[in-house]
Amino acid sequence: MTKEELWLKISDQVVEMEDEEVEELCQKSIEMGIDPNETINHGLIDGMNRVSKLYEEGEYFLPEVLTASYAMNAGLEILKEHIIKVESQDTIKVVLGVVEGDTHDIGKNLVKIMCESAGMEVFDLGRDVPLKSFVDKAEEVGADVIAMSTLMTTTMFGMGEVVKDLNERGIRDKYYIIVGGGPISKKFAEEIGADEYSSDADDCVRRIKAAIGERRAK
Amino acid sequence: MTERKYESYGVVPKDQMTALERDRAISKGLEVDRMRCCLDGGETMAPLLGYSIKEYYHSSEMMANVETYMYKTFGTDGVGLSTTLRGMAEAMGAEISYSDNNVAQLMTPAVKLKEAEGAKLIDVDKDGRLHIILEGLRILKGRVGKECPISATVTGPFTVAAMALGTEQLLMGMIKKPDKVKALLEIIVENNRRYIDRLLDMGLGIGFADPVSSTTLISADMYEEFSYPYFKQNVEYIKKNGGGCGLHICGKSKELWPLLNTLPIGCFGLDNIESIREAKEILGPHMAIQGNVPPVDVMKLGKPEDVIEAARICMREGFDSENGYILTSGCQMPVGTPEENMHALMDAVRLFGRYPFKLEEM
Repeated sequence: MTKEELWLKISDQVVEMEDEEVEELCQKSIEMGIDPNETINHGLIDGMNRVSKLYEEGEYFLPEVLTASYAMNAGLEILKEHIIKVESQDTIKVVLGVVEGDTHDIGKNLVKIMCESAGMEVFDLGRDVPLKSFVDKAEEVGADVIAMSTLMTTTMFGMGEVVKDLNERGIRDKYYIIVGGGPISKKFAEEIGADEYSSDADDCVRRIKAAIGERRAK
Repeated sequence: MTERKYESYGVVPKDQMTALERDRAISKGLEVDRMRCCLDGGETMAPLLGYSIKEYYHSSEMMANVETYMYKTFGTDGVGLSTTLRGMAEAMGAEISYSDNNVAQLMTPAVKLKEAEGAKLIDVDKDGRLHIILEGLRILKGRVGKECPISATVTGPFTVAAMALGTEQLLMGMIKKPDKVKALLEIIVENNRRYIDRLLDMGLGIGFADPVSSTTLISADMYEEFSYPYFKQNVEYIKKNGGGCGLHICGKSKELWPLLNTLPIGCFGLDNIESIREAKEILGPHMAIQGNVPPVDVMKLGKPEDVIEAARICMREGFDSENGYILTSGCQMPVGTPEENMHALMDAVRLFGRYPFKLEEM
C-alpha cells in the first residue's frame, strides 16, 4: 500500500465513523514510517473536512459528526506522540469556551474540531469557564480570536461581561469576538458588542478565516 | 386589574371571560372575547416572586405561587408545571446540579450506554422531584382550577434519554449501539407512562417538551427511528385514556411535521425560527398552533411596543389556522424578562385579537 492509498483509507474510515479502523490504520502509518503530520493532514483532517461538507449539505447531522470526530480523535491520539511540532507565524489562534454557568459543550467541541481541521490553533478552556479566563488566556497566548458559546438564556449575558472586560483593559480591538449557541442571535451579538454571531461550526470557521484574513491584510 | 394604556394604541380592553370560560367556549366553537395567549414561564419566572431557582425546584408551594401569580397578574390563558427537562432523568438516577440563579443542569448521567437495559423503573412517589411537582399541581388546581386551564408538561422520551445518558452519548449511541438506545427508550416510555397516569387521574392537560428531537440536532430519519415510535406510545396512551396533549420542540422541526400529523396531538408549539405560515399549512389541518414571539430578542430585550408589534405579526399569520391559534413566545421566557413585556404580550390579544378575528384589525 502506498502512503496515498493509506491516507485515502484513513479519510474514508473517518467518514464512515469507524474509530477502531482509524486507529489500526494510523498505527500502520507509523509502522510505514510516514510523517505523522502528513497522515493527519491528508488522512484524518481530509476525512473530517469531507464530514463537514456532508454536514453542510444536510447528509450528516450532529450524531454523525460527533461519531466521526470521535474516530478522528482516536487516530490523533496515536499519531500525536510522534509529531515534532512546528509553529507558524500565520496560524490563527483561537481561545474557545462555554461561558460560566453552562456545561453544554457539544457545539463548542464541534467548533474546536472544525477550527483545528482548518489549521487553526485552539486553546480550549472547556465549559463553565470563569469569564475573566477568556481575556487572561487570550492575552497569555497572543490569540486573534475569542469564541464563546452557551445554550442557556441564564448565562448568555456573561458574554457581554467578557466584552466589557476587554474594553476596561483597553484591548478590545486586539481581538475578533465571535459568539454562538441556541439562544444567541445576530441582534444579541450586536447588543453585547461582539464582532459576529455564528449559527454553526462550519459557518464559524468561515467567518473567522475571512475576518482575520481581512484584518491581517490591513 | 388596573386600567392599562399605551401611547400608540390607547386603552387596553379588559377581559370579559376567565381563561377557562374562554378555553371551553373555543372548544365548543362559541364566541369569545379575544384570542388566547399563554405566557411560557416555569422556573425562569421564580425570581419574579423573589425565589431562587434552586428553592423553586424543591418547593410545591413556590411552584404553585409562581403560576398563580402568572394568572392573577397577567391573565395568561394557561398555567402549569413541568417535570422540567431533567426531572425524569433525575428520578432515574441522574445527578442534577441546582443553583440559585440558573436553570438545573445534568452533572452525572443516570446510566451508561452499555448498561442501558438495566436503567431504573421509577417510583413516582419516591424518586427525584416528581412527587413535589405533582403536589404543586394539586395546590395549583385548588387555587385557580376553576378559572384557568392547567397543564402538566412531560419530557419527550428522546429528550429524557439525552438527559439520562448525556446528549453526546445518546447521539453517538444511535450510530454505534442502536439496540442499547432503543432498550433505554422502552424503559423511559414506561417511566413516562407511570407519571402520565397521575396526571390523567388529576384531569390535567398534558404537554410534551422534546427539544433534543429537533432537526437542529438529528435528521428526520433518525427522529423516525429513535424518537417518534416512543413518543407515539406515550401520546396514544394519553388519547386512549381520554386525555389530550400538546408538543413543543425547540429549534428546527419542520421536517418532522408530516410525521406529527399522524399522531393525536392537540396543539404544537413552534420555536421562533420556524414559520407560523408554513405550520398553518402543514400542521394546521390537524392541530392547533401556538407561537412564536422571539423569547430573547423581543420578550427579554425588546420594549413593550416591540412585543406588541412582534405579536401582531404572529397573530396575522396564525389567526385563521384551521384548528385554532394561540399567541405565545417561541420558547420559555428568560430570567429577567420585564413584567411590562409580559403584560404587553397579553395586551396584544386584548387590543388586536378581538372576536370576531379580522385581519385588517390585527
